[in-house]
Amino acid sequence: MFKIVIPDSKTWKNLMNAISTLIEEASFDVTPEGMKLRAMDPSHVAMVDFEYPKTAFQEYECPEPTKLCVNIGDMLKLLKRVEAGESLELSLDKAAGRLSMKISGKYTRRFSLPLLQPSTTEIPTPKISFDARVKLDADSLSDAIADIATVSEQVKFEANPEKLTLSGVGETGNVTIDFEKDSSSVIEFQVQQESKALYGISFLEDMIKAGKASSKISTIEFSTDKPVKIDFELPLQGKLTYYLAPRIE
Amino acid sequence: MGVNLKDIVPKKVVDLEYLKGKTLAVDAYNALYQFLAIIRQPTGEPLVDRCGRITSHLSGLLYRNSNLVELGIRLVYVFDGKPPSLKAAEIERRRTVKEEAAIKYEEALERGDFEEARIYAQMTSKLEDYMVEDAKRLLDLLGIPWVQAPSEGEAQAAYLAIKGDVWATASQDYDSLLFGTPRLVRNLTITGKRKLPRKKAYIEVNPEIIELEQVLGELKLTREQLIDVGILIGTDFNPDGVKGVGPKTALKLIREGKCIENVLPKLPAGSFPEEPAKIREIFLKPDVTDEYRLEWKPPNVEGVVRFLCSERDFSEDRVRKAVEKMVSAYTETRARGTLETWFG
Repeated sequence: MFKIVIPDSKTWKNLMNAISTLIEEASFDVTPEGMKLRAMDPSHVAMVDFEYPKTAFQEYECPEPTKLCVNIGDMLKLLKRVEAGESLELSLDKAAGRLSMKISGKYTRRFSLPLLQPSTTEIPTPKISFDARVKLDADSLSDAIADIATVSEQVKFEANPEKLTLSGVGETGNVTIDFEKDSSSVIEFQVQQESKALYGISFLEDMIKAGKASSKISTIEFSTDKPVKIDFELPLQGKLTYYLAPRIE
Repeated sequence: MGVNLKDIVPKKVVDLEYLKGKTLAVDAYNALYQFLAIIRQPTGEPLVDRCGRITSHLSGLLYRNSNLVELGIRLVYVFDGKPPSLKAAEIERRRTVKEEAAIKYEEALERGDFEEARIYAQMTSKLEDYMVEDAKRLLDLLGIPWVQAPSEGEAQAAYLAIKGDVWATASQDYDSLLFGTPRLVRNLTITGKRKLPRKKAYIEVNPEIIELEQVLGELKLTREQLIDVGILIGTDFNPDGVKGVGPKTALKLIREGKCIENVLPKLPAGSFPEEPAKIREIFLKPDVTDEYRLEWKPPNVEGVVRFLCSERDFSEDRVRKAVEKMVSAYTETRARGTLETWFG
């Protein structure tokens, strides 16, 4: 029997939304230990790495490893109808090839959606040694990216032992945001070497906006001309991490 | 020859586009032999330069790589090293086949039967040392990395895939699966329209992807059992296999007996002279190396032109076009920057 219960379906909606920024079809690896998903967007510029251990669920029954592949946009359409405080139960109808979602609040609703052919492609972890690591308030990071998006389509990340600077150069103006290492938005600050890299803003904006709905704390790691890793802390060893490849000038 | 699992493994037919952005370890000898067999003049003669040096394989390497790289597919070539001693019988068998084909080729030419001559000519293909050196030199100039395997190239290619350094191995032979490659791509170097032998008909050849996990799942075998199935059919290390046992029978026998040691006593005496454990060992613990670096560099246009045009009599126009296509693909990938660059 496969059964998973999430106490507040809004948490689930936010996580699914975070995954849907990159992909349309989500192929989850569900094992007796928990749920995992790793996927790249079709252009292979960005990656999402998601893990949710069984302890994070209210109920978790998964006797054998199962691949669960759904159209995540369709799942979100159904989840939109869910209100805060309603619990969500996921179960499988293997014979019909469908995933059932039972939503319990003031009354009980049942949705189901078709299971898709799961992808068998395993995506490796990017092997990068990061020179800069800054843990900061996710709202501040999101605001900074939104500021830069008003003028530019790409963001320059620069870090030195004193501060992290995000900037954008556009035809209408330039925007520079400094996070000094002791500013109130910054929680941890480690820069071993001056680093500088350029990233496309549309992915960054989507990732951070979606990520901050699940976590108030974000950690940015990057090195010169290497991908950036953005990690959102989730409760109970859950993991929501994005990677984004750099642009080369 | 390789083990014949064709009729029993599940496969997925895709188009080349599907492989965009992926890194593949190509069985170099396998690919070069394909080029040697296919790239020939109408009478069956291979392409040669003014000194009589064969260049069919270089032509294949250049134009194929150019097309694949343009599509955003990244390649690593893996070259065979010293064959395991158990391969001696297979090597001898191949030599005899080539000698016989050479005689039939001459006979067909004398009869003026070019169609037949071409078929035998393809079978005489032999990769000389200088041709392998030329191939490595061209890959270096094209900025494509290659790995020297200590022994079997397919084993080393499978090892790269197991380590996650490449997404899949590319070869026509199914042996890669026995060596444990998680994913095998067939037809990579021959995708496109291909002429059927002895007919005036053409067929469209597409890449096929075979996933080891799926193969084992559908056949309900462990990898050790798949190897045993292979040994019964015949591998490079026991080319004859067991007389009268094809893929389907071998599969049935191993499913019933669980391993080859249980199956052999049921077969007629003397039908399997080799030691199965030794052959299985080659597949399970092949001689492979960690000493390699995978680095993709921009193609050296002038270097390629000097080598292929000045030294090997290729047409400069065509060579330049092919290499320049690769240069722009290289630059574009760098600028766009996909995450694959950072996978290892």
